[in-house]
Amino acid sequence: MTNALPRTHLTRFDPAGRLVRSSETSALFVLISVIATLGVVAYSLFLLNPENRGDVLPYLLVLVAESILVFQALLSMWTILSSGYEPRDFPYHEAKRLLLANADDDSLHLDGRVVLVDVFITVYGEELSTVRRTVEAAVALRGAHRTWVLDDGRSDAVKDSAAELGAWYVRRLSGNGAKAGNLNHALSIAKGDLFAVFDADFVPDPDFLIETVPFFTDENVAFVQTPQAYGNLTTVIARGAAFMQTVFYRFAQRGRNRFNAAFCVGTNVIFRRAAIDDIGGMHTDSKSEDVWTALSLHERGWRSIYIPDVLAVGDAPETIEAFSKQQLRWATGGFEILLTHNPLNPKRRLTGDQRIQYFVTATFYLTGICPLLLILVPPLEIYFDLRPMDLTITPLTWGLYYAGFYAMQILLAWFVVGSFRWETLTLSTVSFPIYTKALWNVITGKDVGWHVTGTATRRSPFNFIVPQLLFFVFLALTSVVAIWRDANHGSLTLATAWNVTNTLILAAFIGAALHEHRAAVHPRPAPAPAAEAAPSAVAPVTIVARPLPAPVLGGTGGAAVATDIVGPLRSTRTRAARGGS
Amino acid sequence: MTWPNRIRLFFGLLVVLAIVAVCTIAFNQRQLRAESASASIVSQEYSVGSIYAGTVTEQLVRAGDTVKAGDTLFLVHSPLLARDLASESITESDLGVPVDPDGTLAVTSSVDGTVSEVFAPVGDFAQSGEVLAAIDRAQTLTVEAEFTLTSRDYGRMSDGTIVDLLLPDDRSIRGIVTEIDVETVDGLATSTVTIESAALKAQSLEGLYRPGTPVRATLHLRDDGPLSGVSDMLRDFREQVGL
Repeated sequence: MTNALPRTHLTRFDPAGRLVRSSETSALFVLISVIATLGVVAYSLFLLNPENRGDVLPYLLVLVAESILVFQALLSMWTILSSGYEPRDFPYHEAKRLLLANADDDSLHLDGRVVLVDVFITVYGEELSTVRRTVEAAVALRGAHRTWVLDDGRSDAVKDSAAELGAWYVRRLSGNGAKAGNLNHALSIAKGDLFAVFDADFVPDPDFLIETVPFFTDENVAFVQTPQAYGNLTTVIARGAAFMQTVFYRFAQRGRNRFNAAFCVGTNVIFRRAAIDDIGGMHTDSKSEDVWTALSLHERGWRSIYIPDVLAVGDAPETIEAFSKQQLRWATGGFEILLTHNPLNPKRRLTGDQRIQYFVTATFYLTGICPLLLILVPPLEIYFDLRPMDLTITPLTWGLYYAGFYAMQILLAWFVVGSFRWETLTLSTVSFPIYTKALWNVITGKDVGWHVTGTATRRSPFNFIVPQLLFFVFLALTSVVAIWRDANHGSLTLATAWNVTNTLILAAFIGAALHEHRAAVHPRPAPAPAAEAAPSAVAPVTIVARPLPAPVLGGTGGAAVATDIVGPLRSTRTRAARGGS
Repeated sequence: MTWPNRIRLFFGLLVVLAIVAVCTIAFNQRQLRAESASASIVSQEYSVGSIYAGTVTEQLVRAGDTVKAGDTLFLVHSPLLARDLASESITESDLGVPVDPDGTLAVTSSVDGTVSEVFAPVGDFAQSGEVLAAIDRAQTLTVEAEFTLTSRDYGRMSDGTIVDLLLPDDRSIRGIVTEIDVETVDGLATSTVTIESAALKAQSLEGLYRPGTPVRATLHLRDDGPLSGVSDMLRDFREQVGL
């Protein structure tokens, strides 16, 4: 049992290789959260105390940034403290016991009825080996199901692989609605009761369906979400991006579960088809179709489930380009909710809990803009002698309050992740141009192209970090001025220390970009990670009585979409009715 | 990198360099200034006393009154004076002030100025030489300012250093350092600086221009940093184009 779980950012092992039981339920953790909350409150009182107010411009910058951070920290700790909630109740366990009721085949039974499950794998230009790995695992899932490869990348190699591995292949000839459109199109063909969705790089655990399907015994459950666990912790960016989400998957989603506000993250999720039909299909008007779909379902009164078990392992963005595009997409989705669909608006049919949780989601990426404001504070002091806080406070007092907030947050994060991750700190400090751009795009209604997270183009990372490069130069030069000033005065100031720290953080990021750039220019022969990802987990593929898709090809009322559908092992090509309005 | 991004980066770098340059010059200008910890207007104070001991019989001025040299401020009745006059051991011309044969002596102001305080009201007995009133002498307004300077900044200040004085009504006048008094505390030079300003001296004592008015004094320290040449050049340029 020791190595049954893959190494991801959500799993922790002790030096002996045993899985470390999650710390979520630890009483010490609750204590630390409470102390951290006190630290946050003390820090906000310190900031708001008029006696400590400094010069107006830097004070406002600090006040705005810290208010957002404090607001998010307080609410996320509230969510975290609510996270000790177990969604598996007696009906679930009973349903799970009866799930594989039929001894002859592996058909899934729910409430005495066979449920037809479709497994969708959305493909959009990912590498063939990645897709094959996922399809293989999806076909091998325990429990009867149909596996569909929904290829928006229109790759014949993927088509052949799907047929070979035992999956259905669907290709649509328009790209409307991106991933959500792809899913909606598939739903017009595959008419199962439940459908699971996996991104092309997410390899599901064989027990995925066994663990999730029993939840649907509750008629109200619309979807069951499992975490996005990342196995490719090989680059600075991948580690930073993965661990950045640890708190979200370990705690936030679990806490949201209690408020019936856990949202869908687009992959490793299984939906009830009736629920999606109820809201008129997957949401297609947004870059963050997943959150919007969940929001629509919650507004219609459906229930969502999140389970923290790692049931699929995928790839975190490895390159700066992939990371930038992923974050831009997610942040845009969040800001869209904030600006076009404010969950606090009384018109929305949401419970109070859900309103607050979606408001937290919608404003979460504002925290990504805060570093921009905070980075500007030391230069203001260095060049213009403008200080955010009154001079009469000793740096020690200031440091104590500051530590009350930040040191406690880092301690909390350390407790969550199990170690201090400098990559996360670096990434969250330097990513402000992405979030600022997202906010700007949403305000101006500018549309940006859709991009798959994992897709790696071999473009120089420097194309995506021009703002960071400029900020680095600015901070580096400012540091020189600051050190010169301090040398003249013969005393080190707090502003210099902060400015140099910020410069070093940006330098570390640019170092990572240089590293990536060199790797892109001189690609080394693959360092054979294949051995590590050996297909040992994939048990012998036993395809027992796989139901075939219903012959529904013309059933969509003749939508003007041409489709290729290729069945497994048959390679019969069928062209859907074209036109006919 | 793609060419559009290279161009963006190039122009971005130019903008960053320009911002840093402008900010550094602003910073350098600020480095050349030192703000006073506290500063206020002071004046030469002149005391008025009676040369003979006696009783103050009349007070002709009150605090705040403007007086001229020779104006009579008090009348003091002195039996001693009466006796001396009677015995002719002293005469009016010896005293240089108007006296009455009955021993009443006029106490006059010897300077132009403003009465700042009266110490002996009518009926008081004044000893010989006792101060009866204080007069702020006109045209002697200066500023006394306290600066806390690093030793380096202290070395960049001397007699004749230019000082900007900001009055409470936001009017700014210029002065120069005439006297420096220094004491070192914790390695910092706590200097008390006397600043003279022709504009301030010319003011009559009224409104804000009176001793005790707080002002903000900004010292223009001598620039001997690496950017001094650049700053001078820019200042010359600014003056030449008339900004």
